Amino acid sequence: MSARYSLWRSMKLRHKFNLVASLFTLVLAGLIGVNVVAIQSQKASTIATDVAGRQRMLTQQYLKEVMAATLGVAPAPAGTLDSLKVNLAALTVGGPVAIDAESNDSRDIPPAPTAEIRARLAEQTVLVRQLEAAGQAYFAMPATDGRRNDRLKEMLTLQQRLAVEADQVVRLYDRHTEAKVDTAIALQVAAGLAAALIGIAISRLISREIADPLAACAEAAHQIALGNLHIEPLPTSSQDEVGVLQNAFNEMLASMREISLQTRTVCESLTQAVAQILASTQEQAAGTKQQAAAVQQITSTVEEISLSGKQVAERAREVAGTAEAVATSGNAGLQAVRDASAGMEAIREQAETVAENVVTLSERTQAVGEIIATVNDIAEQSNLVALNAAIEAADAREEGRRFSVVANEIKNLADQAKEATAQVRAILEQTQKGINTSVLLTEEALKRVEVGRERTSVSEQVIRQMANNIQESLHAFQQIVGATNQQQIGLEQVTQALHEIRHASQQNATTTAQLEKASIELTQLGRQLSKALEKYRL
Amino acid sequence: MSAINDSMPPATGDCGALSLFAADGSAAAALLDRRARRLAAARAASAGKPVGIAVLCFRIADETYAIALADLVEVLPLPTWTPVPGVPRELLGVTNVRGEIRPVLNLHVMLGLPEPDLTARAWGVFLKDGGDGLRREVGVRAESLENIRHVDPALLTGQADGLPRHLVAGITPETLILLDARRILAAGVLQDRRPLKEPRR
Repeated sequence: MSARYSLWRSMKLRHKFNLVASLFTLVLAGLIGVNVVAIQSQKASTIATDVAGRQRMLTQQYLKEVMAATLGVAPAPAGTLDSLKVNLAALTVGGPVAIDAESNDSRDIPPAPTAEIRARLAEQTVLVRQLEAAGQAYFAMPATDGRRNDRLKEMLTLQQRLAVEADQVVRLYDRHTEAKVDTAIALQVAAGLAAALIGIAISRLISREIADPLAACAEAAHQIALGNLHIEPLPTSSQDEVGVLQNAFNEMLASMREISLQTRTVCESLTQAVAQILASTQEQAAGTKQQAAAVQQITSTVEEISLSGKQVAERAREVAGTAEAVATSGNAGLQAVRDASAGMEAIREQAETVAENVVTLSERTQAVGEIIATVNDIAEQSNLVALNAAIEAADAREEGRRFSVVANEIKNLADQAKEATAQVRAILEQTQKGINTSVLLTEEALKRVEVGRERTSVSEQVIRQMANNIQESLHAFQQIVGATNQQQIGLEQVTQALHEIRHASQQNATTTAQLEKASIELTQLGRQLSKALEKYRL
Repeated sequence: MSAINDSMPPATGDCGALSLFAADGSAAAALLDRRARRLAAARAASAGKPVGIAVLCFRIADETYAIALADLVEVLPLPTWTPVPGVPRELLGVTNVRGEIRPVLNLHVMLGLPEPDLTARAWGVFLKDGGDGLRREVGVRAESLENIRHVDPALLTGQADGLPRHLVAGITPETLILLDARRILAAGVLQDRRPLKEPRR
């Protein structure tokens, strides 16, 4: 069953329709065959009925022939009863039967369909035999025999009975045929009903197989049209065209979803980018305004600079004049410093002379000190001599007593000389101290003179440098005057350029405003796009 | 400039020394006066006859010592001496006096006193010993020489504490320590020697 189902499922719709049409054609053919069979049997029974009806006519014809033979008009009948019997046999057991005496056309008829008919036919056969017997008996009697009438009457009665029987058989055949037709009609009706039911079932099946998925597709398409991309993908019910349609629909849905997602992402990016562009544009607009203001400020500043440059030039000229005066004064100062330096030099020379004199004095004092040392030495030696003289005098005892007095005197003199030299030495020391002080003072004076000379030379250097600087400053101020004039020209050019920049800045501001407007429109467009995309629910 | 000039008078020879006397004339007068008085005092002292024995005073380690003039030969400056190796420290060394080699004793060591600075001036006091008729002139070192005094032997006191007993003859009331020349010459350092050569005199 599942195999069949899968086979059914895997079949193409075209093939399914072909299959259903073939099935119905087969059913119709069957019905037609049944009808043909029924009509054929109807035709056979019609022939049989006709043959059965003709039996009456044959019996009447036999009687007529009997009458005609009796009346001597025609010979005794022979064939009629035979055909009657042949027909009867054919009716009973079936077989060929002549339809037309002239053409000898014969048809096969079926045997008696029912026992009743067969019984009637048997009775009819019996009656035919009696009739034949009566006929034979009739013709066997002479024409004058009285009993011929009886026999004739008997034959009439038999014929009457045969006719009735024939009618009966015909009526039975008719009834049989009618029953068969009814059966056939009932069969037809039943087959038609069955076919109708099968048709309905197949229609339902097909509708369920085609219409439901199509309806689902239509619903999904409607949902998509409403913007709902969040629907479930359609189930693939079969491999046929509907299944292909479902697959294609699912692919379309996925593709649309992806496209929508991408579009939304792109739209968001676009919105952000546009917002950034707008922000940049606004910043640029602000910057342009600031630039314009700055250019304005720069212009006024440059004008101020130009004005102050003129003042600088004027001042520089004044300063140059002043610097010349200062340079002249500097030369005078330099001369004065040189005079002072010469004076210092003279003082230094004098101080050096003093120092030399003091040194000479010191040397002489030292010479005096050496002389004093010599005197002292002599005094000591005199003392020693006096002591030795005293020793010698003591050695001479009484004779040396007066000598010892002299020796004592000598010793006293030596002591006095020693004392005097000590005093001279003290005086010399004081003198030496004074000389040392003088030397120190002279050295100090020399140092001061040296310091003064250094200061004077420094002052000279400074004044000279100052004079040089003033000269350089003079040059510099002259250069400044020239440079300031050039600067004035340059500043005028700068002012011109600044005016052009200002013009360009205004144009830039206009352009930026347009750009800002366009950016705002772009932002609105992005919002609209975003809103439109919000319709798609993902 | 002018201040330096003012403070530095021109150098004119010995003006500084002269000005010292010129500035203080009374000092010269005082000096002359002192000299006059001293001359007068010397006359007066020589008039009186000295009592006792004459002694030569000299200083050793801040003490004044004395030796009798009769025991002395001469006094001389002692600029250098030559130490003799291998002898006790009491012998300072030998010195050359007019070509004659004389021993010099170290009284500082003998008296147990601290030795003076070697670079200080020194004097040699030479003793005579007339006991054996030979002139054995032995010197002792003195730090400086003083005057000649007269000492009365009757006034000499006995031994003082802390001094080597065998060298001292006595002590005067002025705390002058009189040394005995014979005992100095009898010092052990001079005894075990060969007799000194005969003087060439």
